[in-house]
Parts: sequence; C-alpha cells; structure tokens
Amino acid sequence: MNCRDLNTIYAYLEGDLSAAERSDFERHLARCSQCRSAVEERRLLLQAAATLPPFEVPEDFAAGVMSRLGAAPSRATVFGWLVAALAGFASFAATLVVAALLTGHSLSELFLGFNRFLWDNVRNLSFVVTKGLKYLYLAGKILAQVFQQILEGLKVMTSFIGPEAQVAAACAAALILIGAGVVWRRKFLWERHHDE
Amino acid sequence: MYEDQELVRRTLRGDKGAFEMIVRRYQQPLVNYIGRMVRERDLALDFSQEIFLKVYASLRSYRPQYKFSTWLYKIASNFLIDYFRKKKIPVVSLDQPLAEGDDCPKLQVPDGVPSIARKYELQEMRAKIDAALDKIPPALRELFVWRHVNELSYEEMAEIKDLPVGTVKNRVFQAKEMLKKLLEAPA
Repeated sequence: MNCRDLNTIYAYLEGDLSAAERSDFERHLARCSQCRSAVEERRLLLQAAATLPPFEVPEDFAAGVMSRLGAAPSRATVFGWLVAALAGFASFAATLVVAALLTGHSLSELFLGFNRFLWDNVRNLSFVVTKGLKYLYLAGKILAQVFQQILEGLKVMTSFIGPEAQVAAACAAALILIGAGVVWRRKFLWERHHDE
Repeated sequence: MYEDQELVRRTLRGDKGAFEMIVRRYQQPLVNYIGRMVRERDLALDFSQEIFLKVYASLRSYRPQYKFSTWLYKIASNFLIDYFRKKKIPVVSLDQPLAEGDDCPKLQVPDGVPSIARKYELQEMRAKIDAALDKIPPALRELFVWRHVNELSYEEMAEIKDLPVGTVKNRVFQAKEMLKKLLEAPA
C-alpha cells in the first residue's frame, strides 16, 4: 500500500473502496501512524462538513413561492404571437404619434416617409437576396454533381453484392442516421433547457 | 409519496398543489446549497425563491428521463454563475487544469504543525469550515457543498456540470485539501 496516496484515504472514508482494498488499507493503517493521523484528520473534516447546521427555512417559504407563481408553465402559443404582434403595432403607432407631435409634420407625411424608407431598404435587400440565391443555386449544382459521383461510386461498389444485402445495408444506414438524429436532438434539448 | 416525475406531470396539467410539493421537497437542500455559496441566509432565501420560479416557468422543458434534482441543481448553478459574474467574483472554470502538483496528491504531515484533529473539536471544526468555505473559489466550493453537505453522488454532480466523473472527483479532492490547509493555518 502506497502511504502517500490521499485519494485512497478519501475513497476509504467515503466507502468507495472494494472489500479487498478496504481490508488491505486497514492492515496498512494498523502499522502506519502517519496514515492513521491523516485518516483521522480527514474523517473529522468530512464529519464536520456533513453536520453543518442547515439554514433555517421559514414555514411560509413554499407559500411565498406559490403566491408568486405566474400563469401555467409557458409554451409559445398562437395567442402569444398575436399579442406580441399587436404590441409591436401599438408601439409603432405610438412612435409615429410622438414623432408627429415633436416634428410638427402630419401623420400621413410621416407614414409616407417611413414607407419610402422601408421601400428603399426592401429594394436594396432584394438585390442582396437575389445574389445570395444565385450563389445558393451554384452551390446546389456543385453539391448535386458531387452527390451524382457518390451515387456512381456506390453503384459500382454495390454491383458486387446481392439485392438483399443492398436492402439490409440501406436499412442499417437509415437506422444509424435516425438514431444519431434522435440522440442529437435529445442532447440538444437537454443542454438548451439546462442552460436556461 | 409521489415521484418527482409524477409531480411534474401533475403540475403541467394545472395542479399547482403538485408544484408546492416539489418546493417543499427541495426547499431545504436548495437553501442549504445556495446559503453555503452566497453566505447570507436572506439572500439564499430570495435566490431559492427565484430559482423555484424559474423552474416553474420552464417546467415544460424538463425531460422526465433525467433526474429532477439534477435539472433543479443545474438551473440553480447557472443562476449562481450569473450572480457571481455580476458581482465580478472570478468563476474559475472547472475545465482549467489544477495548479502544478495538485493532481498528484501527496501525504504531507509537516513538522511542528498541530494536527487539526488535535486542534479542534467537532463543534469548533464546523464553525471553522463554515468560515473557510468562503475562502475557496466558488466553483470548488460548489462541488464540495454538493458532495459533503447535500450528499450528491459524483455521477450526479458530473451530469449537472457536464464534466467527466474523474474531473469532478479531482476538484472535490482539491477543495477538501484547500479547506484542510486553511484549517491548519494559524488563526
């Protein structure tokens, strides 16, 4: 038994040693005063930590939490989206009114000005979007060619195996893909919810 | 006694009493954990309330195949990380390597330093640990409290922090040895 191994001492105190390791360590303890002292010190430390006085929780703590609960646990609903859209429209209208009061322009002038501004931006954006779509189309064309080559390759490779084996391989590949998708989705949801 | 998952299901069906049972079940361990982290009872009570409200608001995102307590502690831990960040208390990442030599635990009994077992009685030791906890980094304190106050398993702690079990064990070990050194230091 290595008498410099503190991890063993903690594992012994926390009951993590196997029966054989435990009796081996206890035999060592019987003849090593340095380890006995180390065990006693750490036993006292853990014992004191485990018996630290709990923080007093008032009787009405749970009632306090319950009185502050809002509506039922949230879920995005059509109603929620509608409320958000209405709130957005209301803030826009309020901004227009405030701007009309501050600048002295009429509401229709402001609205037309805003429309012009919006239209200019939409036009500029449409050029960018068109360009983006063009690049996407090119990328799609390249991908289709790569995919075609892969299919050709697969065709050559599968010409050596029978149709049953081909179906089995396709099913296995589909199952692996679905399984990976499910695992990824669960992991993603779990992490996302835990990071909230 | 209902399982946590059953209480969650009932809460989601609109039974607020079921959520109250969850609060009552976890209020003491949560307040103990938060209290040992922030060192103030009133703040711990306020934070625990906020955490239960967060839990309620996001209850639909809880996946019943996981332990409810793991999910609760994860939300609480993230809440505290935000708090320590706002207070500008450095939150040491648990992924960072330990200081040189700390991964190779050695048994050292220096000459002339009285053993803490001889120095303090259990009662006194509790008070000393309580004070010493304040002096270790929050990330290590959290793991120590979970393990030795809340009595969570290393596996659950690893799941809460998304870390390998070995890393969690190493960090708890480091926290214990830090505490021991602080207790040995002259007052």
